[in-house]
Amino acid sequence: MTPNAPPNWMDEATRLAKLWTEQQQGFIRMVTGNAGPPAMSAAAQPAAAIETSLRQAQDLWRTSFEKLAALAPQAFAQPGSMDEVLKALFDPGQWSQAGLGSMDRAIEHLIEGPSYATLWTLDRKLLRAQVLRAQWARDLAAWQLLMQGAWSEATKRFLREVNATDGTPIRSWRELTDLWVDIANATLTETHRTPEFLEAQRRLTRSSTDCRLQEREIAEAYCEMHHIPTRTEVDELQRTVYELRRDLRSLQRALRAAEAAVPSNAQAPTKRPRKQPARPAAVAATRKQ
Amino acid sequence: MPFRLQLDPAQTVSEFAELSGRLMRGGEKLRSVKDRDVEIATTPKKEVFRQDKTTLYRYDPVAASSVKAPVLVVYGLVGRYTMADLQEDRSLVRNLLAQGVDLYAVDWGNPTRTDRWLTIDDFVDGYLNECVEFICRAHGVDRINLLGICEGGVFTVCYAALHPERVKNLIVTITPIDFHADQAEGRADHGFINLWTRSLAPEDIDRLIEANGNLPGELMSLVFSSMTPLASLTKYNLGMLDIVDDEKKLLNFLRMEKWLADRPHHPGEAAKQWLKDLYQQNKLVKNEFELGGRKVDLRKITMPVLNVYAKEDHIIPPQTSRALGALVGTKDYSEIGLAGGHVGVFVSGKSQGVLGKGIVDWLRAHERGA
Repeated sequence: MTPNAPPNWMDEATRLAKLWTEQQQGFIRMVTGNAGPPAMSAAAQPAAAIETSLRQAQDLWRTSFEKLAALAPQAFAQPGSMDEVLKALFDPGQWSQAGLGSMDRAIEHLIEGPSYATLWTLDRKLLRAQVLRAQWARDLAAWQLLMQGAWSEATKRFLREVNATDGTPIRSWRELTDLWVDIANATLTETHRTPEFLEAQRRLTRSSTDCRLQEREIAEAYCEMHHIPTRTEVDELQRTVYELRRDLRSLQRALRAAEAAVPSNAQAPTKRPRKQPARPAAVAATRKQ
Repeated sequence: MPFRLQLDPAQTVSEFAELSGRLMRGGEKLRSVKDRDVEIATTPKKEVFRQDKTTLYRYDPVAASSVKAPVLVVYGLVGRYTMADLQEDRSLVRNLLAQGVDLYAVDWGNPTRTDRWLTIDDFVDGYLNECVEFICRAHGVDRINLLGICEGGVFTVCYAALHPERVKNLIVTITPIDFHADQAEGRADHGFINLWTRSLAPEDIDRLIEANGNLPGELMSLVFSSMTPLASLTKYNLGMLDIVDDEKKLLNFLRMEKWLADRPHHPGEAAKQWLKDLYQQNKLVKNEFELGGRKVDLRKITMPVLNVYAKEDHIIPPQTSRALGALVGTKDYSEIGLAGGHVGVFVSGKSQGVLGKGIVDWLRAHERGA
């Protein structure tokens, strides 16, 4: 960086963080007795160390805020700057837009940044849910638009029939209703089979499913925080139970087959004993739920 | 030239007055109907075997036996087996019992999320096999008759191909086999489920199951409703009002509603097989559908087969069902095409004397080798 160049936002932030870390290390060393003025008594050392540290911390905070205030114009001058983001968040004009897309983008600008392994993961999950809900809203709107088109077409066809000068006269309210039901049913059925409708329905199914799965991910994050079993864990447990049951059934069947294969004096090995088809009186339950 | 619309104001007023009266009478009737008035599946039966959530029932005989081998009714997972016994005068179960059939039915129970890992392998090679083995042991026979309905028909077809030694006769009703033959007749109101399923990407289905743990019954109800959109929208405010003064018809309507509302969730992994392997990839007709590591080869179905389909079935279009004839290994293949829709062949008044009798006549004609 040349002497006349404005300070770089990231470099300054890094330098301030480094200063803060050094102060913290010094404070910890003094409190734990690893460092301090040798002239003081042992009892006076921690109190003096804390006072010094607090003073240094105050100086550091003051310097930091001065630096940050000086750097703020640089940050706000960048595309997607904070003032625009906040404006987008709180401008009622933005709220009236269809869906939540602009709001999501605003929130995304606020929290976007390098993706750390353990930092802000819940925020990202929440943002993702917001984005998916917006997609769901858009897909629902697209689906509704198609359906509105179908209803409009049905109305047009109905009015054409009603205003026709040929065909059976419609003399009763019930005949009129039946005509409307027939026309609307045919038009909607026709619409349901169009590639556009099927694709809109597929997208709606997918986005609503994606939303549910993302909500589950958030719920599971809270569950993990509070040591509550998650849906995924319960599913895994149920899978284990299912596999054990399946193995048990298989073993029971193998055992029966082995028993049947052993020849006895009473019956031939391949012939089943003939019994009267009497009603089984009692329940032959192998296992009850 | 006059327009078609020629409403008579006096008649219109009279119609609205009549409608208001029906609304009031309908409200009173509905308030007076008790749950016991619309009970379904009331034919006496006993639980004879249970494994996990699967229950095997044996119906109490009402007539002297006329068919030697017992018949096991197998419904699917998309609806409930109670459709075969909706009410006393509309019941395939009662019709079969009255003609001397020794009748069993398997009930898969009400799957919840805990059942998400169950596959069609488990239902066919596991639970269904256990039920068949139980009946064989109880009767001291080697083979029984299977009667599959809808998805249950697919289960019985798979079972018959994998265990032909256990099936004396195979009867399938309203059963899809060629899942891509839905447009064979070019009918715009047929096969919407086929279209809907094919419009989904395989990963859409995977994520749907991952999110819900199963194929929700409510979702399938919605898909069924959207096949006849206006009929679904107007069935209470028009259809029900039309029959509100006829108590018998009203109770029939309510029983049907009860069955429709009792739509179970389809276990997740089994739903993936159902939608991806069968509806999307049509593996059954290619003999590529795998259960328990074995391919289901329809040519191994060598026992006599009766295929009952509904001519107006918009859910399982006739050609998707009739495809079975060209794929099975037996030459003893028969069909009965009944007038009516998917559920109508079981519950309509007209079909009552036809379906049960057709099945029993066919079974009696195939008594040899019992």
